[in-house]
Amino acid sequence: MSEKDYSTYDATELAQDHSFIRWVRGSEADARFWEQWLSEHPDREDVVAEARRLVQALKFEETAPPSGQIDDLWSRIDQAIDETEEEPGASTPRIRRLRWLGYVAAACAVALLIVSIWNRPSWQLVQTEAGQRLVHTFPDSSTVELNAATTLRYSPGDWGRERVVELDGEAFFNVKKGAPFIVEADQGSVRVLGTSFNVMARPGAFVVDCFTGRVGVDLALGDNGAVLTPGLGARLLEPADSLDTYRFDAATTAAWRRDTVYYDEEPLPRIFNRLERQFDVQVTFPENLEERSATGFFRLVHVDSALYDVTWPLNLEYSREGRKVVIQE
Amino acid sequence: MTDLELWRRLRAGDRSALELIYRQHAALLLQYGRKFALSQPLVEDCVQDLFVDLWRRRAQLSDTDSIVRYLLVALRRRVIQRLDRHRKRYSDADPAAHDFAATPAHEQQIIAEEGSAQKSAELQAAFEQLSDRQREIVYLKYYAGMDYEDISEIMDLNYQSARNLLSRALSKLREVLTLLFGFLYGCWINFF
Repeated sequence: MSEKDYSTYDATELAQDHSFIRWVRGSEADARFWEQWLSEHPDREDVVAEARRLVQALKFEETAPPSGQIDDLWSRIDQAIDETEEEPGASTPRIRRLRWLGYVAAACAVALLIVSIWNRPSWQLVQTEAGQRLVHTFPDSSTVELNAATTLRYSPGDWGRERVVELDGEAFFNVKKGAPFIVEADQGSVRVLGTSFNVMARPGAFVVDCFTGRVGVDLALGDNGAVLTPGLGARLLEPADSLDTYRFDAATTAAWRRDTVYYDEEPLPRIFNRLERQFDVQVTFPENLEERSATGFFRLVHVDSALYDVTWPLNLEYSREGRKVVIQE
Repeated sequence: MTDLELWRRLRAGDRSALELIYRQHAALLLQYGRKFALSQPLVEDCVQDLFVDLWRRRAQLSDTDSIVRYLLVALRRRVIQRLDRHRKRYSDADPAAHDFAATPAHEQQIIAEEGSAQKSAELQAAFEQLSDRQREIVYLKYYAGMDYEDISEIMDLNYQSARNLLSRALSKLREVLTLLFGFLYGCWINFF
């Protein structure tokens, strides 16, 4: 079975041996070898027992995905292949029957290939680190203001045809009329024609506020969406799994653009998170504050004045050394 | 049919070979993908893109003796790209670090012993103390049945680093096991 000198192995080494693992997992063929080996090396009984224990402790039990899921995914793959097929497969009968269609498809594919080589999508990355903000202008002079710790990605080459940006973070968009403009985030997407709106797509929160025009919001999971008109917002805050629409006050919403951040009945950890991003600091705070919420605002002028804005009304103390901030009661 | 034959059928443009490969490995791919901090629909997207791409580039594929290894390497790359794209820019986490959540099920032999519920909980806690990469390597080795060559390719490590990573993980778990079962070992050794 093996030339290895197992008598020099310790328990962790034995537990990594394929044949040994197979034996512990019940393979008859391996059992013959190991039982024989054990009878020749009775002094290794304890090592073997320990290694067996280790392998047994590493037994993962996974529930197989439902076969419906596997079938559905296959039909999606099958369909996606049909849609992207660049050249007719040599042996699929369906294509042989419709050979002329194959030639048309091949011609289109070649044309498409030429266009795509010509117009190879190159990604433009726009990003801010914690403590930074910036304004970016798209090729059609639509603009976006990025709040701190935000990443935006799009393809300038495709801009005339489709305006799609991927967003992770928070940004305010001012979109010129034209082709559909789509913001894609982890939790969902926002679709508009020409309008201005703010999107926050951060872990645990997806919030869209419409300032002008009409804004469509779709969730990645679940089937509810929303159409927003000016003054309406939609939010998905964990642990909720559906959108909740609300009327907002334009003076206090997306006010980070005017150097102020407002919060309304917001959990303290989320407020501290915002401070961390806006000023590139690390905030630590006592655990018992996790459940508390607050309403108020802080100004994006200096980290100390912002910390004061947040802590003073709550009767909290803060101390700061460089980028480390400690909040105390 | 061996992996090599199946792979060659795929390369020759046999679409039923693609489906066969999918059906053999979809469950593992979906389970493995879900261990990273990525939602079910996004993992399915990654698997879909992987197979569409596999078909599109079939003519350029080179031979492989392990289809599952090829698929795990490709899926991991896609999942991590996807995670990186949406990664919080403000976290100072190591860019090479990715959450990996997997816990073994402790049933059967271990459960059969007295006080086993607590032991199982302690083992579980020990497993959670492993690093994400340690959990991933343990999963690949003991659940997916990969060998070191597979693992070093999947996790983009050299052979020796893969061995070291797993050895350290096992040593940690062994310490906990010795604490939990040390007394029993004592009895057992005395018996012989």
